[in-house]
Amino acid sequence: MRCAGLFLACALALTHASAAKAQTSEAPLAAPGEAAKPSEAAKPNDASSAPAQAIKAPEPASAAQAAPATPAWYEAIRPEFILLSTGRYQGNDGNHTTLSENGGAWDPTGRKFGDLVTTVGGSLSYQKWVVATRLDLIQYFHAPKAATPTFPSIRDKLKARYRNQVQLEYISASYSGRHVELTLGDFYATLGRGMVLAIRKVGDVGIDNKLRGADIKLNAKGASLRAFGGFLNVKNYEAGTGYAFDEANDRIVGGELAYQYKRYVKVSGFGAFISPVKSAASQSEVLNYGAALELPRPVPWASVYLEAAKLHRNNKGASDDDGKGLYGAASFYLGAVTLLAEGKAYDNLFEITPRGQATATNPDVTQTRWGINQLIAQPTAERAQAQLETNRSVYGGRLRADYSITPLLVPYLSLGAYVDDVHKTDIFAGFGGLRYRPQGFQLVGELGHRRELLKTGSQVFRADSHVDLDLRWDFIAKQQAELVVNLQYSEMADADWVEGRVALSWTHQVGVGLTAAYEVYTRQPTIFDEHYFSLSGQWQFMPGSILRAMVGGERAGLKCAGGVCRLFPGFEGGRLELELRL
Amino acid sequence: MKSHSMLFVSLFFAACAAQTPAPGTAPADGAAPAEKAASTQASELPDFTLSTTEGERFTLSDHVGKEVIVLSFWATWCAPCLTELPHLEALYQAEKDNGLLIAAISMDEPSSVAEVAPTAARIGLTMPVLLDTDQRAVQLYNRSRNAPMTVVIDKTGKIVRASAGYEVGDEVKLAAEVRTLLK
Repeated sequence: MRCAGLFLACALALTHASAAKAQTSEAPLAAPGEAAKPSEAAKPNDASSAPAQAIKAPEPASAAQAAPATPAWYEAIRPEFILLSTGRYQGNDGNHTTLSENGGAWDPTGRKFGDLVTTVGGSLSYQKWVVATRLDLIQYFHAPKAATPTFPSIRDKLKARYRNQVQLEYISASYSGRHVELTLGDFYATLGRGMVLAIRKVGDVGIDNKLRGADIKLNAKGASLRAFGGFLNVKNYEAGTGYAFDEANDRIVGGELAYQYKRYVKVSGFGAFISPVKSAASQSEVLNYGAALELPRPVPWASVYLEAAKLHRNNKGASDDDGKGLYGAASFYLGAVTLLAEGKAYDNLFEITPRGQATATNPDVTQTRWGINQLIAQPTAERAQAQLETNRSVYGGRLRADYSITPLLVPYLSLGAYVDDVHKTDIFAGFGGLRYRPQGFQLVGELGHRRELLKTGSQVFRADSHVDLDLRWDFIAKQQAELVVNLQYSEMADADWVEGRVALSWTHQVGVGLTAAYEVYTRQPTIFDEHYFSLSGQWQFMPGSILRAMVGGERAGLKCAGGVCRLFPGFEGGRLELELRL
Repeated sequence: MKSHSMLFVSLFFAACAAQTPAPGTAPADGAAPAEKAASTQASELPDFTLSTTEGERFTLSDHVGKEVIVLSFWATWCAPCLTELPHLEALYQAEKDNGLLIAAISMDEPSSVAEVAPTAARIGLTMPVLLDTDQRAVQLYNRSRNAPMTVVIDKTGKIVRASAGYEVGDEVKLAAEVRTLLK
C-alpha cells in the first residue's frame, strides 16, 4: 500500500512538472497568425469529401510559443511513464460464477470490500535501444474471510482471491536495428496466424502472456530468421476476478524462417516446442510446426493466404495427441465490392494451456473458473464477438461482401457454414449491417443470427441472435452524443437468456464526458440481479491522462476478443480510475 | 541459469555493437552522402520491418530523416479508428508530395487480420497499411496498445507527438501540426 501511495505521489508531482510539455505536444505548431493553407489536393471529392472539409486552417499557436524548451538529455532518452490506478468498492465481490458451479449456491462471505489495483510502467529509449518495465500492485481493504472454518473450500478460495501482490509483470531491454532485432526479457511471439503459437496480450479479456528470455530476428533482403526461447510469464493478477496466479514457467522455444520475393509471394516455416517445468501426472511436451504461403498481390484485384499446422503432444506414457489445421483467406477487390473468403479445417487442434502449479491458494491457470488461457489461437473465421462453444475440430468457411455505395455508405453481409465434430453439429452463421459516416454523424448497425443444430434430430444445440447499433452525432458545436446498443438473445437446451448493454454518452471536446448505461444478463442463476444500471464520467485533464468515475453495476457474462472468450463476474459498487501518461 | 544469463548478455551486446557503426565510418552498404545523412538520422529511433497489405516490406529507417512520418495504430474492431482513417487518408493525399508519410499500422490479432486488407480497400486507403500481428511496432511505439494511437516523427527523427484516442476535430490539430513540420 505504501508503494502504491508513493507512486501516486510521484505521479502527481510529475504531472505538475510535465504540464508545459503536454501543451507543447498538443498545441498547433503553426506560427502565430500564420494559418496553414488547405492543399488543393485536399479539396472535396467523391473519395474524401468529408475528411477534406474537416482538415482546415489551424488556430494560432500561442501556447506552443509559451512552452519551455525540453532539456536535451530528456529528448535523448525519451522517457515515458504510465500509471493506471483503479480503486473500487465492491458490493458484489465477483467471487461467484453465473453458471451452476457449487450447485448454484453463492458464497455469501465476499461482499463489501475495497481494492486498489495500480499498474506502473515506464520506458527509456536511446537511439535504437529501449528498456521498459511494468509493475502491478494489488491491495485489498476489508477483505472477506470465511464465515466459519467448516467450509475449507470457500476459505481457500477466499485466500486465493484476496491476496495482496506486488508483481514485476514486464521487464525488457531491446535493440531494434535495420537488420537485427534483439530483446532480452519479456516479449510476445505469434507465429503465422496463431495455430502454432500465440503468446500475446488480449487486454479486453485480461490475458497477457509473455515469454521471459531472449528473442532475436535477423532481416536481410527479403529474408528473415527469428529464434526465441524463454519461460512463460503469465499475468499474475487476473483483472476479471482478482485471483492471484504464480508463474506458469513453461519452457518455450521457437523460430521462424521467411522469405519474400517482391510483392508476389512470401513463404515461411515456423515451429515451437513447449515443455512444462515440473513433472506431474499431467505433464507433457508439445511440438508444433507449420508453414504459410502468402500471395499478397499476385494480381491487382486479389490476395491469398494459406497456412497449415501440425500439433503433437507427448503425454509421457499415455496416448499421444495429434492435431492438424488448415486455414486460408482470400480477398478480392472488385471496384466498389470487396469480398473476403475464409476457410478452416481443424482436426483435433487441441487447446494448449499454461502449466499452472495448482495449490489450494493458487488456482491452476489452466483451470480458471473464468475460461481457458491458451497458448495458441486458431483463427475462428467467424465474427470476432461470436461465442464459440469450441474451435477444435471444425471445418467450413464464410464469405463476406462489402459494397461501397459511396465511401461513406457501406452495407455488408457475411454468410458462413461449418461442421463441428466435437458437438456433432452443423453451424450456420450470418450477419449483415450498414455503416454510414457522413461528416458529424455516424450510424453503424448490424443484425445477425448463428444457429448450431445437432446432426441427430436437427435440434438446436445453441442459437444466438444479436443486434448492434452505434449512433453518434455532433449535435452542438464541440459536443457529441453517442448511443451504443449491443444485445444478444441466446438459446440452449437448458436455458435461454438475454445479455447486453445499452449506453448513452455525451462528450465535450474540452475533455469531459458522461455515460449512462443499462446492462442485462438473464441467464439463471444470475448474480444479484438481472438488470444493472450505472453512471460514469470522465475528465481528460491533460493529453493522454484521464480520470474516470463510475457508480452502479456491470453485468456478468462472456466477453470475447481476439478469438478468446472468457466468463467475467458481475460488479456492483463504485470505481475510480486514474490513467496518467507522462 | 547464471551462465546462460551471461551468455545472453554477451550475445546481446555483441550483436548490437555489430549493428552500430563507429563514429566517422562510412555505411557498410556504400550509401551516397545524402543517404548517409538519412541513415544517421534513422539510427535515432528503434527500427522495425513489417509487411504491408500490398505485399511490400516497410522498414521505418528507410523513411526517418527523409519525411515527416505519422504512425497511426488502428484495428478493424476499433470504431474511432475507422472514423479517423478517412481523415488521415485525406491528409496523406494532400501532403504526400510535400514529404508526408502516413503508415496505418494494424494491431489486429490473427483471428481478425484477414479483414485488414478488405477494410483498408473499402476506406480507400492508399497509404501503407502495415500488419503487426506480432506486436513488434506496438511494443516500440504504442506500448499501452491504444487504438487509435498517433505518433508523429519530424524530419530530424524526433518524436514530436504521441497521443491516444480520437475525437472529432483532432484531425484539424494533426493537419496543422504536420503542415508546420513540413515547412
